[in-house]
Amino acid sequence: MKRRLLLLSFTLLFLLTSLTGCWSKRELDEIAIATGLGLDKTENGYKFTVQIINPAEVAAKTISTRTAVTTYTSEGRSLFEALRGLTDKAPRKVYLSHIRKVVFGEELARDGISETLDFLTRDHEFRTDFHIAVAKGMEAHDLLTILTPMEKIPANKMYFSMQTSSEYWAPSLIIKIQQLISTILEDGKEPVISGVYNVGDIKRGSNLSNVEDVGAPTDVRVDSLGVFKGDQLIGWMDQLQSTSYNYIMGNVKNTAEYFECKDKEGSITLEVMEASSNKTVTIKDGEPHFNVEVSVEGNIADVECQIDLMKLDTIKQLEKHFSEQLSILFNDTVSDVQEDFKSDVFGFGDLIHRTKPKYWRTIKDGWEEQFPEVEVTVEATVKINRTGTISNPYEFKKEE
Amino acid sequence: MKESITRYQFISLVILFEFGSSIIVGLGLEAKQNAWLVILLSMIGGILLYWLFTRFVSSYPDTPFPQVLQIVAGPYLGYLFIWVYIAYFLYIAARVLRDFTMLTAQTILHETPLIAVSLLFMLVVCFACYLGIEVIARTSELFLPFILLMGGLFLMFVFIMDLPKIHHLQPFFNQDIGEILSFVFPTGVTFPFGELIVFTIIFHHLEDPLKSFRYGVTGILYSGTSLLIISVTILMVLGPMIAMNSTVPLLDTISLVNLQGIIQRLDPIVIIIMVITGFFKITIFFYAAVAMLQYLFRLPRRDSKGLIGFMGILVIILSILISPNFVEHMKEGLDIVPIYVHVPMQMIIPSFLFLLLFIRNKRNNQ
Repeated sequence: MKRRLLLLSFTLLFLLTSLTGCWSKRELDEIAIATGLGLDKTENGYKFTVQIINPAEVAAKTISTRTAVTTYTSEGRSLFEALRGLTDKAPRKVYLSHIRKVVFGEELARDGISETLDFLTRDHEFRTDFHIAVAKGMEAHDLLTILTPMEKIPANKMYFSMQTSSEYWAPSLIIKIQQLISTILEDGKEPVISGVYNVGDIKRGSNLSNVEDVGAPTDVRVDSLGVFKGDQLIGWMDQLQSTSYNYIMGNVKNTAEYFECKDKEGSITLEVMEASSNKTVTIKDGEPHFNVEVSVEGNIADVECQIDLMKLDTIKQLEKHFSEQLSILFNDTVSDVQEDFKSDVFGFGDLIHRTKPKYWRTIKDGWEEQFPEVEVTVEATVKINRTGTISNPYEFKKEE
Repeated sequence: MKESITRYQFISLVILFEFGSSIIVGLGLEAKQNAWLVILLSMIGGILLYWLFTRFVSSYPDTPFPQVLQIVAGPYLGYLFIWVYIAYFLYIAARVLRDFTMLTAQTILHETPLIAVSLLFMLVVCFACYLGIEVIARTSELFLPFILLMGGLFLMFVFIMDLPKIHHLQPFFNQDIGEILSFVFPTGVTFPFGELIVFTIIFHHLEDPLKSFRYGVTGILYSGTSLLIISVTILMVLGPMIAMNSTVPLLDTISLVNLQGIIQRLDPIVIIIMVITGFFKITIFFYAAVAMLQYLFRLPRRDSKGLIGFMGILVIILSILISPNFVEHMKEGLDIVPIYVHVPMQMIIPSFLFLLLFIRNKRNNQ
């Protein structure tokens, strides 16, 4: 009995000390929670910038003169070296699990990002749910120092901006790391990464006075797409091209489409409620022909010219007019991408690979040269569902 | 008194055993788009092997497996086989223990030494073995719904998020049949299905040992189908390239779930699945080895504290000495063990024994 009691108390003591999970504990006040990460190229390695939350300021109820985030920068020959180099600058060890945004400097992106992707997936602290972006025309370091209004944490502002605009604004797109890596690795498709850039003066942006101003003179925008070939950035699509890209890839959920009125002055804007695309490929005489059907459904949101919306004919004409306009835009974008970038961001090669694997094997090696020459037809069909809460536009008299 | 387990307990043991490690490291992912075919073929192979394993119990329903070995192969050869299987089960228990300590070290406990994790793990395993198969079986019956719920949650969240993309599975059949079969044999059939050889130790505890084939196949079908669904889902979410290259694909998949910012960071689901299924896999292998030793030394279960403790320490040491680093461990596990360890133990020796059994039965009938 006594022996049993002794054994029991020993076991309990052992479990008590070992099951608490205190082995490599890290208390909240011992870690520096990073929300944003910026990677830049230097002469012999990388510049590593982290944006770290200043917890006291984020939770503060009173306005103080300290910023809610701090950035630390360190250089190293490899990313991990640079990360550990941060410990002599930051008072706490940087904790990377809550990263919301990883930004590549444009220079690094043009040089190739594949070396950095290894660290971003190999290190156990990274989760895979952060967004990836390229700082357009600037260093990632500068971008991360801009303070933003509304969201106290700038990386969060970029994250949510992108989240919201990818749902309601056609040109923007969310890219996550796994999607990026598989796009780079797989044959017959090339990646795009959304670009982030500042408007206004960068120096001003890093000062707290930036967010004290109602208009926030310096701000961050997220609406353009960088075209990659392999792991190298080769150019930027403008807003219209980005829009068409997203339509063709079927990424658009909800957006606004602006159209000039036919034969009249003014414009009509469509609120796109649903868009989908269907890509097919046919082989004629050993040459692939691609056919993309984009169907768009929407409501009329904004009429700024005189038309009679209550007529069935008008709606039919509008639909036809919009379809033509969109088709022209999409076709232009595809041929622009073919000519300027020569990079198969639309994944046409992958489409052949998936649907006609035997044929793909014969053209696989020459696809990169073949892509700029292939024939692509994009056809858009627009359907108008509703016309809003008023029927016809008001006929205001204008002073001539 | 004979320990006995019900059919539900047996089936849940089989399912949890099959899930162990394979659900975490992913099954058939090397075959990329053809993973489903590889799993399906492996499952069929596994059922055939399992049929072979149950032949012994249908001839000698109430005899423990070591005794069957001695009856079938003669006292001396049988004695040798018993020791060979003890070594095999202990080795695999150590391998699985290493798998799990390493995975926990990689995913959650980064700075904890492997020995601390293995020590705690083995403590529970030893305790379970000391309490006997009835307790192990009841535990599995208790945990199975929990695991299925976790797996169901995983699938539900991933599909609600609309993460799986069918185009990751295209093109179908992009490898030739030889290549696909090379994934099925030896790797697919032996791991995890062929490892069911360890259940030969448990068969005679079943309420009705003659039905062990039927119950076992039910377990294989359930677990195989679940593994197939999970593997295909992982492939559809991550794409073949990433899925193949990931050490814990299930974890990578679930970390993508972020439902409106409310349901996110679901990694604990995977960790829970990992620990529970891992526990059962190690326990069953360890139990099998211990049960055979108990038979050899004529030790009643209640008096084998020392034996179990000693064996537990042996497994911990073995699991650490087995390989100096992760790469060698994986290399051994994928290239060497299936062909040189699993194939003889799961196919060649059982087939040989089956042949002897067949001849013996024939002779008895005459």
